[in-house]
Order: sequence, then C-alpha cells, then structure tokens
Amino acid sequence: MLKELLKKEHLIMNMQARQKDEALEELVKVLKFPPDKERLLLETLKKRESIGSTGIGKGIAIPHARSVVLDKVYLVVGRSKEGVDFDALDGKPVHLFFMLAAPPQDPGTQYLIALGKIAALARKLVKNQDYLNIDDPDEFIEYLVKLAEEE
Amino acid sequence: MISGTLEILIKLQDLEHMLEELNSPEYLNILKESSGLSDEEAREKIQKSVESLKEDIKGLKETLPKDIVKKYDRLIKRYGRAVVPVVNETCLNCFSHIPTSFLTKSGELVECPNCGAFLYLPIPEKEKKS
Ligand SMILES: [Zn+2]
Repeated sequence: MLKELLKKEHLIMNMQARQKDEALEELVKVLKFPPDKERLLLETLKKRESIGSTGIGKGIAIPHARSVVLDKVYLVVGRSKEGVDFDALDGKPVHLFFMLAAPPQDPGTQYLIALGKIAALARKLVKNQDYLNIDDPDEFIEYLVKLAEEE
Repeated sequence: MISGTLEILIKLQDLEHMLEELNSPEYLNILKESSGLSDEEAREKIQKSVESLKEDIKGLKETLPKDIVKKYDRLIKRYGRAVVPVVNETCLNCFSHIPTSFLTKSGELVECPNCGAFLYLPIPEKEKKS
C-alpha cells in the first residue's frame, strides 16, 4: 500500500524549512495544487498541528489530515538533515516527515490504514538513522518500501 | 476564487473530520504505537486535542451567518457531514447527479438540489497551476 503512495515526485530529499509552518508549506507545495486548494489544505494541516503536534518523537513527524478539497490520498515524504523545530513530543528536531492527506470520503478507511502503516514504518526507521545517509531518491524510496514490507 | 462563506464551511467540515478521527479507536492505537506513549498518556493527549478542536469549531461557527450554521448543524446531525465534494458530476453525500449548470459555479456557495449539502465543486482546469 505504501509502495503505491510513495512517489519520487512527492519526495523532498533536502528540505529547506527550519520551522513548523515553513515545513508544512514546503511539503504541500510539492503537490502543485491550484492556489485555493493549496491554501485550504495547508490551513487544515496547520490547525491539526496547533491542537497537538504530529511530531511523534525520535526525529519523525506524520502531519496528516482529511480535507474536502482533496480527491484522493496523497503522501509526501520530506527529509531534513539539519532538522526542523516541530514541537515534537520529545522536543527533538524532526528529520523525516510523512505528510498524509486524504479526501473525507474514504472507502475502506484507506487513510487510517495508511496512517497505521506509516506509524509502523516510523518505528523501524528510528532503530538506526540510515535514512539520513541515502542521497539517491530512487534508493531512498526503495529503502522505505523494503523496510515497510519487512516483518 | 472561493467565496468566504464556502471557505469557512470547508474549514469547518475539515475540523469535523479531524474530530471524528481523534475520537476513533484506530487513532488511539496508531498514536500509542508510533509514539510509545502509554494508554493513559495517549488518551490524555487526544483529549487535549479534542477540547482545543471543539473550541476552534465553535469559534469558526461564530463567524458564519446564523441561518447557514443552522443548516450546517442540521446536515451534520442528519448525514454526519455538511460539505461534500462533487466528483464525476455526482454529489458524494446522496450520490445524485448534479446538473451541468451547477458545475460552472466552482467557488460559489451551492447546495445539492437533492440532499441540500453544501457542494465543493471541482476547480476548472484553467485555474490550475501549470
Ligand atoms: Zn446530495
């Protein structure tokens, strides 16, 4: 499932952002939405962070939201070697973002299943910091897919 | 461009979906699994978010005309949603066909002629970023 959602054109290998709002903006921009749609999705994601950070600790954050303006599930992955100040649970900077955005009508709760899979992947990713050392986008996606599929 | 009222309605509906998600047992499990929080800690974190979200929903509603809020609340009560996208000329609340004459009204406050839900109409191609 994550394999279908992980796309090279939705991957940022070196994020420029250092702050929370900037990071969300950078992640959403990748989707190349029309301005109204981009703005509404961004506001929903920001609101989600304002009621409780999705920085789950150990360098990973999973910003996520459902929005009326979306027609399908999108996943954007962003990496920051320097780290982003994201008010994470453990207060540490975030180095890897999985931004999941989905339409409200969600057949088979695909969105929550994807969110669960990302959470499981995150647990595996924090065991080592290999994701910080891969610089080829294809290799990076391959690494995530392989790790996600491992038992 | 999206009308101010429609924009607020969309935001409001997105927050309702957020609330629904926070209250789901799946979300509690995902949070516990991903963060390593205990059951009690996770529930507490979610509860805080829910309270803050309810305040936001209340605040947003206050910026809308009263008759719109009334209609919105009635739709939520009846269908669990009030603002729905139109996909393939179909209302995603009641699945009835939306007349072609409606489809040019993207950005305007339009209600489904069948179920009364507020419609989010697709954005015409020309407005999309190249
Ligand atoms: Zn309808």
